[in-house]
Amino acid sequence: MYGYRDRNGKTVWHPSGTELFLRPYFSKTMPEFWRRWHVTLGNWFKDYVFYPISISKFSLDLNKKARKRFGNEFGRIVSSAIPILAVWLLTGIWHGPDWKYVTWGLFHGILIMLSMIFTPYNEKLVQKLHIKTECFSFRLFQMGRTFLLCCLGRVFFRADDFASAIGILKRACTGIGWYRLANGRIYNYGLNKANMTVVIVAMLVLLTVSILQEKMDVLEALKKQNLVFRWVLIYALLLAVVIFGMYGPGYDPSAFIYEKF
Amino acid sequence: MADEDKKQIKYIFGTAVFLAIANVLLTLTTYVMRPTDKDFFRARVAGFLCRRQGQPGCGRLWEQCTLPLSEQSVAWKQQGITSYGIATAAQPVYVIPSLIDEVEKTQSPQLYIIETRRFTDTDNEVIKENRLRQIADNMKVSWNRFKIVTELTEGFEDRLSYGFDLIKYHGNWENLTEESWGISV
Repeated sequence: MYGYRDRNGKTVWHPSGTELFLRPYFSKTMPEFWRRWHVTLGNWFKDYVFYPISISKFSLDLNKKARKRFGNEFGRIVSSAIPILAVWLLTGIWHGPDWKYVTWGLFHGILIMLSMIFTPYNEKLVQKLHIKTECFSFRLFQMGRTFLLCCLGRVFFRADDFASAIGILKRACTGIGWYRLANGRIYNYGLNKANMTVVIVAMLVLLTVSILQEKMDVLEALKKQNLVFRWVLIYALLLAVVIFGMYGPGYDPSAFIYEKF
Repeated sequence: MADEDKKQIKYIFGTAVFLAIANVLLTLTTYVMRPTDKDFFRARVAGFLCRRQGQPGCGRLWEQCTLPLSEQSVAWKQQGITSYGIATAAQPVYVIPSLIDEVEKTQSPQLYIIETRRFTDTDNEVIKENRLRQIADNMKVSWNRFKIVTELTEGFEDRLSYGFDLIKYHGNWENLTEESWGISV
């Protein structure tokens, strides 16, 4: 069970089993990504920052003026810029009082704004080019695009400072060296062949479960299976975690990037 | 009995069986994951455990370096005494009572030969840790093992990994050999 207090002072509890991350990497757009990522934090910012700013007198006045000046569609985008950018500025600062987090936050705020601006043009373009949108390939393209944008933001998040982030991006785009995948040098960067195999298998298991979760309640489906099947599966997963998990002497959990938050 | 009670009993029984199987699996996994290349004590304990139950003989809590003073094959050849070793190099004296208890669970020795040179040793923590690893990480999961670990790890930061050595050795899956599966301990 976890929860937070909403702006009316009421505690909103999520029952245990309610997921905090709703498979965000299946998102087709950045706004969808952030609806699926860290749901309670997103809800808290929505309740305490986005709505109060949106319904403030200043915002309502701005909304009226912007709609009059730019029309309904664009005016709405202009007036929502302030609450959106405020939310993302604060989300950045929430991660740490550092310019790199501010940059990361504003990057996502701007991305969401751009997404709102370009969505109508994008829809027109798709119609003109007769691109099928209700198919797996288009969905895959959308997920890939969202993933790449998200990774781009992560560079600013992870790098020591803004200049390092730019350096990382430069290096990522030049001299990729695909040959390292084939000549075995990839195993010199911290994960040997055996560990790499475990990582790949674990990722495939995770992907399979995530795909199933998008379509059904996996736990409920598992409950309907025969006892022997269920227990064998649970024991196999238990042993996999116990053997291949990262824990015990020599493991430093503080090295984990998200530990500070 | 009401249906609800029956359901509850079934649930409790199911949970107990599930935990018992998990315990057996984790114990077996622990034995398999223990390293085989550190020293030969594991093989020695395995050899001891392979002995038939209730055998008379001589239990040796004795260091390897004192072999010239009392050697198993010579004792057998000259005096007809069957003996078995269950000791590590530089074995600390405080583990001896627990090791004797462990021996007497399956054997009925008429004589013990005990190394006494270590009686005056005061170990520092690193040496103590190495010795504990040599002994406890090769013993079967038992009450005696628990006593040894509890006694020797007092003041240690990471006590749990001595009691459940799978915590320390789980990453050893990369080094598993046929030998890892073969030794029963």
